[in-house]
Amino acid sequence: MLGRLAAQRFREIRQVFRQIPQAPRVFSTALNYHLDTPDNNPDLPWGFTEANKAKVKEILSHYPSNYKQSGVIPLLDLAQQQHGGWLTVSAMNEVARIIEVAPIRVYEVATFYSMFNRTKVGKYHLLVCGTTPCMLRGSRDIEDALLKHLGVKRNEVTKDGLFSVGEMECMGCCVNAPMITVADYSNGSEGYAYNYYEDVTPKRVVEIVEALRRGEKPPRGTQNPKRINSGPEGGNTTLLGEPKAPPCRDLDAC
Amino acid sequence: MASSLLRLARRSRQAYPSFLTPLSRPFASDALVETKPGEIGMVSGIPEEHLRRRVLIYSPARTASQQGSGKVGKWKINFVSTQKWENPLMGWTSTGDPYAHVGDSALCFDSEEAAIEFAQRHGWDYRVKKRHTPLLKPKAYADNFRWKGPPDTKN
Amino acid sequence: MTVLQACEIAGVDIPRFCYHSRLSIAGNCRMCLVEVEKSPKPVASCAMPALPGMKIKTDTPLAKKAREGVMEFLLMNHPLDCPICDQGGECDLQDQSMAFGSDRGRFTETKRSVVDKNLGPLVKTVMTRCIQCTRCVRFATEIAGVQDLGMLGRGSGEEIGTYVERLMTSELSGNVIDICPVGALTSKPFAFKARNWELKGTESIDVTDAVGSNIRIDSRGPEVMRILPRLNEDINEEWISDKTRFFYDGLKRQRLNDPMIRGPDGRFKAVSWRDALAVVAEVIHQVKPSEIVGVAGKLSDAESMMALKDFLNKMGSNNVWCEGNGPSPNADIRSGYIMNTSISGLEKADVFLLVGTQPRVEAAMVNARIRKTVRAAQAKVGYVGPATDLNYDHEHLGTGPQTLKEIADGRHPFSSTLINAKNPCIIVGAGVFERNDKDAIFSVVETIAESAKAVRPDWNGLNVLLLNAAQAAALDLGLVPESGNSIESSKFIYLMGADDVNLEKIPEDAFVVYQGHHGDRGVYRANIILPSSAFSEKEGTYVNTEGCAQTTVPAVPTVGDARDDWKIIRALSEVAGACLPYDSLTAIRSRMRTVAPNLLNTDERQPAIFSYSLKPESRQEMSTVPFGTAVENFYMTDSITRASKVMAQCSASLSKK
Repeated sequence: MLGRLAAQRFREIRQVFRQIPQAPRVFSTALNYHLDTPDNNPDLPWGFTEANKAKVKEILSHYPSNYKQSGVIPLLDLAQQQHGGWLTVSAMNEVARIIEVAPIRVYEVATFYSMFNRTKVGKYHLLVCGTTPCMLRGSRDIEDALLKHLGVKRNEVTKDGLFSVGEMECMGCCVNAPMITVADYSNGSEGYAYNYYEDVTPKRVVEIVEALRRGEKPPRGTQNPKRINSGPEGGNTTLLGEPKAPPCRDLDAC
Repeated sequence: MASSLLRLARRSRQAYPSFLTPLSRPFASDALVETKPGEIGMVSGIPEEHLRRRVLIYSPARTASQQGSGKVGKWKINFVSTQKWENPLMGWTSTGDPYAHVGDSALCFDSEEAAIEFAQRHGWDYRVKKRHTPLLKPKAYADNFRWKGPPDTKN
Repeated sequence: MTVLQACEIAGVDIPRFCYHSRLSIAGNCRMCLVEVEKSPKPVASCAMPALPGMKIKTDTPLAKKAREGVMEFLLMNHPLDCPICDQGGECDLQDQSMAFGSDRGRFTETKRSVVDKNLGPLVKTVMTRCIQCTRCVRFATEIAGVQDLGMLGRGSGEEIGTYVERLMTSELSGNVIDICPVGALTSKPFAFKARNWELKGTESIDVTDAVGSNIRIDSRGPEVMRILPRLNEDINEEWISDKTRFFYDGLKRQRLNDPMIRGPDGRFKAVSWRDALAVVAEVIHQVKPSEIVGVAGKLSDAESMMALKDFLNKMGSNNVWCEGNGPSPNADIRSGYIMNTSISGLEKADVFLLVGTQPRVEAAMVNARIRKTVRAAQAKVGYVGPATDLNYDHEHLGTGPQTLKEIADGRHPFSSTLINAKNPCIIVGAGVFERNDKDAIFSVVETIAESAKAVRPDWNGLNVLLLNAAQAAALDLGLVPESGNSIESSKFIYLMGADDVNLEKIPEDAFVVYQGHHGDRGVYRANIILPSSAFSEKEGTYVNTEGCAQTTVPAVPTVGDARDDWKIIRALSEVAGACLPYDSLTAIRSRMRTVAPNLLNTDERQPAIFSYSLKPESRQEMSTVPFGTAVENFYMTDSITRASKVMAQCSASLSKK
C-alpha cells in the first residue's frame, strides 16, 4: 500500500515536471519591435471616438498643459479599451499626437508595461494569476484546463476571436487563490470591465468561459458558494461582533 | 659621418669670422655645449635633403571613439610624409621617405617646448598647431527634472 | 558639478559607460561607482553632486569590487564578438574590462540575443552587443533633435530601437558611432575594412561645408579609411555631420590623374605636364586680357587662389572669382561676409532670425549650435524662407523679402521679439549672394540689426552663413570679378575645381582649362585637364564661415601625376613667361601675408573690426522673389561628394528637404 502511494506520488510529481514544456514560461507577451501586418500598420487611420474624446480631455485636465506627457498611460489604456484590448501602432501614434511628444516616447511606455497588449487579444482576455500563492493552490491546472478547452496556446487568440489566455502577476487575491481575471473588451471602452473570478476550479473555469461565450455575465468575485468575499467557508469564525474601541490612555490620570 | 664633419667644418668656417676658428679658443665653454639651431642636424647623419624639412608640431586629440584620455597631452612631430604607394609585388605600403613612421611611432614629447626645441636643434622648419582642450561644463542630475517653464498661453 | 567631474579636475579618471560630458546624465551603467566616506553604499559619481567636505575614494576594495561586479554583469549578456566586431581595439568595454574587470567569469547560462535594427546606409547595428547605456538615445533626442531611438521593453530584454522600421535621417546620425562604447553601432561603410591600430591619424580640416570642422583622417598607407571628429570647442565640439564623415570614398573614384588634352575628335588624350602647360601658355597669350576669366572652386585653398589671382592679374585680367560669392561680391568690409558672432558665440544669443538659410543642410554644425542654444536657453527662432524642417521649434515668418521689410518697419509681430532681445542674432544665408537684389536685402537686414541693436561693441549679431569652404578665403584675398557677366564674353576660362559654373554660359569657342581632382561637371566642357590634389593630399589654408583660418594636413599621397594647385599655376606662369615670384609654401604664405595677414594666424578666429556702418547706402530695389534653397541635396554638394557611392546611397534613401 505504501508502495502504491509512493508510485502515485511519483507519477504526480513527474506530471508536474512534464507540464513545464507544455506551458512555456515566456516572460513577455510580444516583441520589442513592430512588424507591419494588414491590420496593424502606421498607415491605418485611428482616432478616439467622440465619447472617448471627452474622456481624453478629462484625463488631460489632471495634468498641467505643458506636461501633457504625464497622461500617456491613462490615454494608452483608454485607446486599448476602445480598440478591443490591444494597441495598434496607429493608436500609439495618435496618442503621441495628442500629448505632443514624439511617437517613440509612447512606444517606450507601451513596451515597458506588460498590460499594454501590442498584439491582438480576444474579446475576453483571460488572465490567470501564476504567482506563488496561486501556484500552490493549483493555478497551473487552471491554466492547463483553459488552454485545453479553448484549444490555443498562451497569448494566442481563439479562431472566433473571443478568448485569449495570458499569465498575470499577483492580483492580490491570495486568500481566494487560484483566480483568473477576465478583461472584457466586448463593448469597447464604455463596457470595459475587469473582473476577478476567484476560488476557481478547472471545472468552474470552463463553465465561466462557456457562460461568457453565450454572452452571459457570470457573477464576479469568489466562485465558491460557501464563502462570502474573502471570508472563511461556512461563515466568519472571528469578527463576530463590534470591534473593541482602540486603547486610549487614561485621560484623567494627570 | 665624415662627410657631415666636413660639412660642419665648412659651415663653421663660414659662420665664424675667418681669424677666429673654434680651435683657437681652447677654453671657451660655448664652443663645447652651445648648439646653434640646425647644427645638431648636421652631425646626426641625416641626409642633407631631409635637414630642411617642413614639420608640424601638434598635440594629438583624443580618439573620438573612446572616452579615455590617457594618451592625451603628448606632443608629436608630424613629418608630412605622404609619399607612399602600394608595392606591386605584395600590396604592402612602400615609401621612399625615411621619416614616414618616425613622427607617429618614435617621437613623443611631454611638452610643446620640448618638441619645439627638438625641431629647432635639427633645423627643421616647424609650425605649431594649437592644442584644443575640452571645456568643463558643470552638470547635475537634477537638470533632467528641472521645471520646463510655464505653460504656453497660446491655446 | 558631479563627483565624476570633480575627480576629472583632480586628475582621476573614473571609468564610465553611460556618462558623456555633452549629454544629459543617465546613471544607468553603474560603472562609475566610487566609495564616498560616510555613505552606506557606493555612489554613482556621474550623478552625485560634489559637496564640500566629501572624501571620495576611487581605488579602495569597495570601489574595485563594485567595478568588477558591474563589469561582470555587463559581460554576461555580451556576445563573444571581439574578433568580428569593428570596435575591437578602440572599445571602451574591452579596455575597461582589462583595467577594472575580474579575470574570470561565472556565467554558465545562455546569453540573450537581440534582433538587429535597420538604421540606414550609414550606421550598422548589431544590437546583441548593446549594453543599454542609452547614449545614442540621449544623443538623438538632445543633440540631433530627431526623436527616433528609444529604449523598448524592460529588464534584460531591453532593446534600443526605433520600434517601427525607420531610418535615422538626421544629418548628425554618424556621431552615434563614436558615442556607442561598444560595437553595437558602427560605421557601415567602414565595416570590416581595417582595425584601428593599422591606421595613421592625420589631423586635418573638413572642406565639404564652410564650417571647417576639425577632423582626423585615418589612413592606411595610400588610402583614406575613415574620418573621425576631433575636438574643437569653438567650431564643432566633438561632432561632425554625416557628409563630412562618410564622403571619403569619393576620394577614390573619378580621380583625375594625368594631364589631358581634348583632341579634335572631342576625346581626351593623356599628355605629359610639359605639353599640357605649353599648350595652355600658348593659348593664354593668344587671347586679349579682358577675355581671360578665372573661377576658383568650392574646395580651393587660399594658397592656390592667391596664385590664381596673381597669375591672371599678371596676364592682365581681373576677372577672378570664387564659386558661390555671386556676381558682385563685396569683399571690402569683412563683417559683411563672415559669421561675426562666431560659432561658439551663438550659444549666448537668445533670439535668432534666419534669413534665406536652412542651416540644417548648409552647415550642420552651426545648426547643432543653434539647437543647443534653443534647448538650453529657450531661444526663439524666426525663419524667413521656404518651408523647411529644422530640428528645433521655430516660427516660419514668411518666404520672401517682403517679410524682412515688415520686420524692419516694425509691422511684424516678430519685430518686438527682436527689439526686446538681449543678444539678437541675425543669420543671412550665402544663397542671398546669388540674387540680383543682394544689396537691397542686406540693407534691410542692416536696418533690422540697427533697430534690434544687434551690432554693439560687445556683441555683433549680424552674421552671414557661407556655403563653401573657399568663399571666406576668396573674399579675404580679394577674388572679386570686374564684371558680373565676364563668362559670356570670355575666350579663356580657367576653372580651378569649379564645377558649379553654368556651362551653358560659356561661349562655343572659349578655351576652358579645368584644374581639379575629380572628373565632375567641369571636365565635360574642358579643353585641357590639369589634375590637382584633393584636400586630404595637400597642405592648404581654409577660412571657415566665422573667419577662423585653419590648415589641412596631407594624409595620403596624390593620385597619379596630380600636383598641388598652386604649384601647377606657378609652373604655368613660368612656362607662360609671367613667372610668379614664389616657389615654396613659405614664400606663397608670405605673399598671402601681404594681402590678408589673418590667413596666416591659424586656429585663431579673427573677428571683423568694422561693421556695416562704413557701407554706402544702397539704392537698389528689393524684388519680391521669395528666397530659394541654396543646397538642394545635403549629401551631394561638391565634386567629392558627388563621386561618392555612400553619399549616393544616402541621398537616395535618406533625402531630406
